[in-house]
Amino acid sequence: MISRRKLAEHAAERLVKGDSTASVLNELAAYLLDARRTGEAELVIRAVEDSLLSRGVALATVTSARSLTADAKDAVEQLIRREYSDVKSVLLREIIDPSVLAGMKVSLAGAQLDVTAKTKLEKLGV
Amino acid sequence: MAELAVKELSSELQAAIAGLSKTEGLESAGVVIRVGDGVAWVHGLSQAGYSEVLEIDTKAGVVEAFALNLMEDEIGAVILGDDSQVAAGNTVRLKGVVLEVPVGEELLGRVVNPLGVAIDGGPAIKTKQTGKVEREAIGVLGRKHVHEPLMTGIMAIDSMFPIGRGQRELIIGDRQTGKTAIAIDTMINQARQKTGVVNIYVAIGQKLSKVARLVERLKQEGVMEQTIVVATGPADPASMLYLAPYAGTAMGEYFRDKGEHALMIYDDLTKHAVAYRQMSLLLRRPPGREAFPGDVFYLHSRLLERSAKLADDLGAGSLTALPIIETQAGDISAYIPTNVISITDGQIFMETDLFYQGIRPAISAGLSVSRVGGDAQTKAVKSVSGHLKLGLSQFRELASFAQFGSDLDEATKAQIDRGQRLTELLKQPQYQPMSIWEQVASIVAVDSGSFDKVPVAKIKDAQAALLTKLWTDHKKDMQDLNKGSEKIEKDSKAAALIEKTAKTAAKGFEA
Repeated sequence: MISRRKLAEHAAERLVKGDSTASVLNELAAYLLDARRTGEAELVIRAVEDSLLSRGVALATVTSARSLTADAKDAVEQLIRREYSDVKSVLLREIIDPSVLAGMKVSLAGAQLDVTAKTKLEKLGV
Repeated sequence: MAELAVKELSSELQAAIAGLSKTEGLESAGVVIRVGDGVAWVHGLSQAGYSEVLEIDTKAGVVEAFALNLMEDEIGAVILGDDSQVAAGNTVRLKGVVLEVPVGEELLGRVVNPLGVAIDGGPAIKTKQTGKVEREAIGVLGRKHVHEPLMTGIMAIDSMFPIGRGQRELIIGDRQTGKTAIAIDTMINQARQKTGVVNIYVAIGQKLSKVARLVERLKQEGVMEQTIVVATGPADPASMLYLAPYAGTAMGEYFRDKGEHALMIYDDLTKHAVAYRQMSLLLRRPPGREAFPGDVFYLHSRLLERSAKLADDLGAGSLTALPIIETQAGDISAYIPTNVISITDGQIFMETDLFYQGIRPAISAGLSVSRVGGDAQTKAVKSVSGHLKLGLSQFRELASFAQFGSDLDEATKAQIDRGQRLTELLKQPQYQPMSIWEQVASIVAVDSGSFDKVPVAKIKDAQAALLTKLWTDHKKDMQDLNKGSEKIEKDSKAAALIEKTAKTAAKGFEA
């Protein structure tokens, strides 16, 4: 059985080389279906994000109560570049979730920054 | 007053906010991919170290776990506590520390769980220090040979299988043969003789009613003030049972490293191995003999190696271990018993047959041994008990001939007679540990032949009479004898005094 890490390494390598995302994902999907491992799809994607990060491509998801301003996006990008000095490009995906109240949650492969008001209040036991 | 309360609240809030702001920044995070039977499988956290603590964010708050399986794609972590709140998709963070428990004098007199949380209904325990649950044992140069006695107060042990401070002496036997009783008596003796040794009793999967009874008894005997009880019951998760002896040892090491002396009792390591087997199988590690994992020897060797007598430049403290192993039908050649026998510095083997013959403590003279205790035995006891073990073993061999009575030659008959009296003398009720002078006087009395005419059934009465007489008439001499530093030669003043008093005491019981 091929480990998720090896699958992810292969996929990330191809994506970085410039192969189309659709063809890489199609191949992955075919393999997972054939190997009856479709349940691992989400984990494989996480592993691919991991591998991409080690190749200088950071895919980050930002969850906030309302859409981010250009300044905020810039700040997030700066933060990621500061934490990972070898990152060449940062791709942000935005999710609007009013339940976080305020602030934002930045998630990328294997790391996160949760500075939402909701989490802070929970941590304070409110 | 109200103003003060508001100020306190305000400062607490400020502190909480300061604590939160410290954590700001990208931190490693993983996700729970599946969970069950106290084990969580985590994706991500590739920087996690072995035995590192993970924090799982659940709806009901943070649940801790520790990483035991570091694999290519995932981490197998054992959950500390209730796993019902942990669900797939929960975020997992690294705590950045290996597991630690509170250690210190504050724990004395308390009953705690393996995480150091009080479970005796008393106030929360706040200690100044913490100790690592998994810690490397002291190296060769940090150790010294075992040379100070750790008196158990049980005559059969102190005379034939002496235990020294820093020694690991296994107590092994079937169920209901008095293994725990020996451990409890040893703890009680530390308080009675005011040795200053701190007791740490680790109950691994023991019935909590039994632990409660034990704690009650220790309180009655006044031992609880110098005792820590680390308790886990059969209803606790396997991870807690696995951690209990390591956590207890961390608490003991605090006293050892301070130059004091501590006694660890692991009751029992059979259940510990079973808990580890459960964890290992759930973590999908390959099973080996009796389905135990391959590292079950290391599980116990790394635990017991932490018991040691420290060198003088490290404070000369000690940590003595009395692990307990339960055998099935007296089979000491099973997997776990042989492992622990080979790790420890000797064993006290309890025999079911002896127990039901009324010989209690039911210690087998032939199968028990103390490999390093000889140097630690008090001079007084050593000088009078050198031949006891051999004599008793020979007697048990000959005992089967005893039924032939008159057909035996005089020498054999004498050996059987002496053996019967010695066996009777070594019987000792529970919770009545004996001091050094009592042990020496009893052995000298039988050895000198003073009790030869006393019927076997009345030996204990004669012994009691002798000890009472010695204490009332020769208190000063007995107090000196109790120091144990003098050898008792056959023609010495002390031996003559005991012999003379024994002969007088025996007269009232002779047939």
